[in-house]
Amino acid sequence: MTQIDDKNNILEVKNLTKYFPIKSGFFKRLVGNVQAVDDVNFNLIEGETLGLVGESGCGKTTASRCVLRAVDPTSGEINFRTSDGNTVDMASLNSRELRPIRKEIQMIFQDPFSSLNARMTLLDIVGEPLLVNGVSNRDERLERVSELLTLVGLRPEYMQRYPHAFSGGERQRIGIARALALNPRVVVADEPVSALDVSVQAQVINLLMDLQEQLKLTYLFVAHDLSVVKQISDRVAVMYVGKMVEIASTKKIFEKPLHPYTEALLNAVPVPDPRKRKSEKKHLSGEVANPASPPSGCYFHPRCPYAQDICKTTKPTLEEVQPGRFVSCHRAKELDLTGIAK
Amino acid sequence: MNDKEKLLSVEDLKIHFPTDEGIVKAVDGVSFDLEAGKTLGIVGESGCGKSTVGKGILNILEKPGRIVGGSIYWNSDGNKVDLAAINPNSPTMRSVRGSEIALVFQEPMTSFSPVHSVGNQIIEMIMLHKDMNKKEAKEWAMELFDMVGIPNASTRVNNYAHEFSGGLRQRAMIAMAISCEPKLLIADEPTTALDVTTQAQILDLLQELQQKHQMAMILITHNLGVVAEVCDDVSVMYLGRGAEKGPVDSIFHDSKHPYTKGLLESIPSINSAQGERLKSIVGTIPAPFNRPNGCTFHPRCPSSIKGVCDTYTPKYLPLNNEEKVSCFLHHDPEKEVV
Repeated sequence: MTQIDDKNNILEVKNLTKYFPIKSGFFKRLVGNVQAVDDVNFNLIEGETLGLVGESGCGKTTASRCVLRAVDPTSGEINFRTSDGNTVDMASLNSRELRPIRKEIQMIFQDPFSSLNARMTLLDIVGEPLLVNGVSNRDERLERVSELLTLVGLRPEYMQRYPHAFSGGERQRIGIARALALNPRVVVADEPVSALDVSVQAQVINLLMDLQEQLKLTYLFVAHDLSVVKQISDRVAVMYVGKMVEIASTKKIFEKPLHPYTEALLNAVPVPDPRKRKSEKKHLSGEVANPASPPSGCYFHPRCPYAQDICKTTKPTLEEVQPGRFVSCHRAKELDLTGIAK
Repeated sequence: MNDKEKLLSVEDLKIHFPTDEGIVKAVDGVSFDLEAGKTLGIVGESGCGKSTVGKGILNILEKPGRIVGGSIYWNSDGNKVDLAAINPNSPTMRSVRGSEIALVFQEPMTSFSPVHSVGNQIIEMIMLHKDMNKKEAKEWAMELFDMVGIPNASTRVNNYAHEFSGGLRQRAMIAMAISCEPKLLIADEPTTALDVTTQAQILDLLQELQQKHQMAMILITHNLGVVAEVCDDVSVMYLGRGAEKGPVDSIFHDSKHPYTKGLLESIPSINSAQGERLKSIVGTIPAPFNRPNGCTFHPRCPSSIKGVCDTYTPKYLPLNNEEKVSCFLHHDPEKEVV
């Protein structure tokens, strides 16, 4: 029997793992696995925004796609509380059983240029999820699409136009309208603003925040830009080479990180103020480990300035060190790390 | 700053792309100066012409783009050359390009040839500009790899671009750019394709090399955080025109142009509070064939003056010794129109 431990949670991800096989040779023999997501746990509290951050290749996109079952996980549980109050393990459902749940979890994509079909009008793009889900009356669809376009700040008169007539920011609004068409409760946004110009980025972030308030949405916000994540998230989860390294409230994680990788990530972000140039630079050396052959022990130890012998041999586990603060580091309790000064 | 100290001085540069649908004025009146050893940041959003300026200085514009006006004075050992006036294929241009002014591209994957080893591509460039034989050039290439922090230089020079990670590839790109000890390095979005921790490493490397070799640098970027960390002076561009230019501190703390102010307010900063609404600039960047009349920023400008900003184009004029701005809030519309 699947169940959710905390009644505030809408989604709980337990021991989620996704391996991509590496095959080689004439017979396509299995020679190894890319451990894209490796034993990851996190939860989504209803109505919050969880920011999922990490560098490229850390598995944040794969983890978020597993939640949508756009990628099938290798193992683990994805427990979701549906609108009628039942709890289902999405990881174990087949595609027919998933269909009613798909309405409740929707996605906003990164690239507003490739995620909209250039041969479809706005009415077709935004109306397609409605059509698929049984709104076959054209007038009804028309009405709902114009309502959705107004909601995201576009003029309903534009619905007969094609995506090429719109700028990047407007296209992203179209993508948002499409995601909201079926009144979802959870929205997975994968880098929704990273392809946009800064002046337009702010408009889209504000729109996402307004929509959350109006429609009581829960966001899983995947991004690499920590400044954007700080703006929009209630809590932040940090991943490194397929592992979750730290989860905490936004305020705590930025003020005082507990994992050395989080500290390094925060310090690497350039601050847009020449008066706050860092006099002393502590930048990470080395490169992100290869997820096909990760290092022994803690995956971060070859780059970690605080690594000790135990870090080279034993894998740390994600532990709750303070209420609501999870960290996966052997030395979390003794280290005194610095975050971003106010 | 007198003329002698200027390494580069760009005056009213205009680069147009005549196409079937009309003329795209990618760069339409940009001016700036650069002293030896200093860093100038050129910032702006996509389509503002910042990359075109970088390519224009080296005269490697893609067809049908060409320089239609203005001048680019380059101080080559005391001789002033106007790079805008000479033939792009002339011996003078070819001797400046690569050896005196070098360029680092944004996308290190597509900038290297996939069928030649990275070492050979660097050696080719060294032999072209320097009096070295192949053996000497290879040794110099390995030394450069060490300098930019690529481990195992002796084996790495024989590797191909696909065998490098993004960060290493950008380091190799920088090694190639500094191989002829240029006086000016133009870096076009050098860290945009990289992760934050790698970005920090590359910016450190660029600053370190700059100090060591007394190199001037033009950093073309849309990331205001990077500009604030690295640059001495900043030039803000909007739709092919210079909006504002000044020392980094006055750009960030006492900006004159409404566009710069709007840009600074709209970026989420890692120092700002959580959940705070961002101020954004209204509207979007207009399409290249549909530029507004008058000041091109006026439809999005919160302090636009009716009857002035929508009819007259402001000139790019100095405010004082260091700052320049093109805005009627600071200039008299009666006299100072283009």
